[in-house]
Amino acid sequence: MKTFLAFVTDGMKVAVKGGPLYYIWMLLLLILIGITGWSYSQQWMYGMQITGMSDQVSWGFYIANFAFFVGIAAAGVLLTVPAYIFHRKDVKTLVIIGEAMALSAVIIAMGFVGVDIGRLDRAWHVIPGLGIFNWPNSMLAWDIVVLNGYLFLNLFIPMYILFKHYQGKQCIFHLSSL
Amino acid sequence: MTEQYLPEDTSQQEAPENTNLARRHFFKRLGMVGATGVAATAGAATVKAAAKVATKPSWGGANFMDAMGDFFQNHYTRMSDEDMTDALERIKRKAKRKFGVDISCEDTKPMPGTYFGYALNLSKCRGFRDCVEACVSENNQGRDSQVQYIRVLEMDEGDTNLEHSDHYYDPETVPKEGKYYMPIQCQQCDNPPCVKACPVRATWQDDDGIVVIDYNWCIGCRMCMSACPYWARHFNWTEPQIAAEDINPNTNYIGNRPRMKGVVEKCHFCTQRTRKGRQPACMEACPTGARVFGNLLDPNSEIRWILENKRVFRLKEELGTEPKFWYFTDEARART
Repeated sequence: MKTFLAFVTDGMKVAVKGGPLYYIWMLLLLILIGITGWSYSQQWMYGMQITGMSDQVSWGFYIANFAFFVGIAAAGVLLTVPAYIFHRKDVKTLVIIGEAMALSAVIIAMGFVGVDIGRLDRAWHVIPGLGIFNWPNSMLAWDIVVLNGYLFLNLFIPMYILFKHYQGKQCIFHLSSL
Repeated sequence: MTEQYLPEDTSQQEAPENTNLARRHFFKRLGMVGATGVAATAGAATVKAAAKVATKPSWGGANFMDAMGDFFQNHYTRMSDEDMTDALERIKRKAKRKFGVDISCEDTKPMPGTYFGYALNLSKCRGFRDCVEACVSENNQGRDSQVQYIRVLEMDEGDTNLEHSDHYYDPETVPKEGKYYMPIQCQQCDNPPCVKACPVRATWQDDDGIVVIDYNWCIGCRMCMSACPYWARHFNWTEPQIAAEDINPNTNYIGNRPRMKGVVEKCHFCTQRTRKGRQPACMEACPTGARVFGNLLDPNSEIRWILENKRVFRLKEELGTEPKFWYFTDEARART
């Protein structure tokens, strides 16, 4: 547990360290995030009319982007699969990058679903038990299961691999042994 | 001449929170009489106009405590009697703050022994759109957002292809030569695809066969809209604005109470009226008597007579949605 906390804090330290170019890049990304936040606040106040969608075209740019990033996320895993199926050592170095890309892509995809629904404040209604989760009837319920499951996998497998690496140990299992 | 068939009349010009003259004229210019959505066909220009429009955000009349109460409100079927009383009080308070109108709001349960259906006589419908106007004023739809539950399709004689229909028709007089008119609203399917699509069961079929929505439970994902083959469901793309004098103060929880932005709504067979033995507003308003609403379980009802004696059909029946909305004509039934 203690090593895990050290692993997390060390990871944080690595993430905020860098040259001036790195900071400029981070600043740029923060500005973009800020613009996104402001845009969403506008949508929140004035309603989804500002997206230009209508009853006829009720799925727009948000869902198009969602589909795109789901594709990116799937590609992240497909990138890592050859490493295990074909036992390619050289591809194995890409595993972590592929998983990290899948993780960020699936978070972005979930974000797009989040801004696409009209009442994000009621998102707790989908939590089983607390709310009502209409699974397996609803397609969106399946989407929620798949995205969250994928998020969980992509969060914990790379974390496990990195943590073992941090400890200087070998991974006990890899995917082909399943 | 056509002006009298407009679902939104001149009274909306005095909407208190509505400062959007530019866009209203924009829509008027487009002649979007029967537009069901906000930015229906206008495209990029509308987006720009819409972004400029709203000068002042509207919170639907909620203060902090009411917003918290709404936030923690449970699903309609899981609310206790006290929860429901609180919810109804909140609805009344919000309407008072937003519109300055005292409304009544009650929770109308389905009447036992009823199962409602609708029949529509295509020979009699002449495309006046009086039903649309009556529906909008009865059910407190947003006037600015132009949500309309009924679409009247103008069809070519001898053609039943809905793809060829026009619901933005705007001639000097109706009916037009060579056309017939086909009103479409929620078909109250017995096997409703929208109910299956909802991830949170915010919409369900009640005991009297009416598919209803809990507007306070809907998360606004619009899955039901893409599931519905009849285009019966409408999303509140913006906060619905209604002039104080246009508010229908007799509301119920599951039906025509004022809605908030970001939720889906649709025709509910006027539950605030029909669950008390009255006719739906569209049937009452129809000047030609084309509309017949009734209890399918009552063997003496007019609708049962029509189903037994007329040649009826249902829309997109091949999809297996089992609509409880029948169309018929005055032609004699074929005898074998």
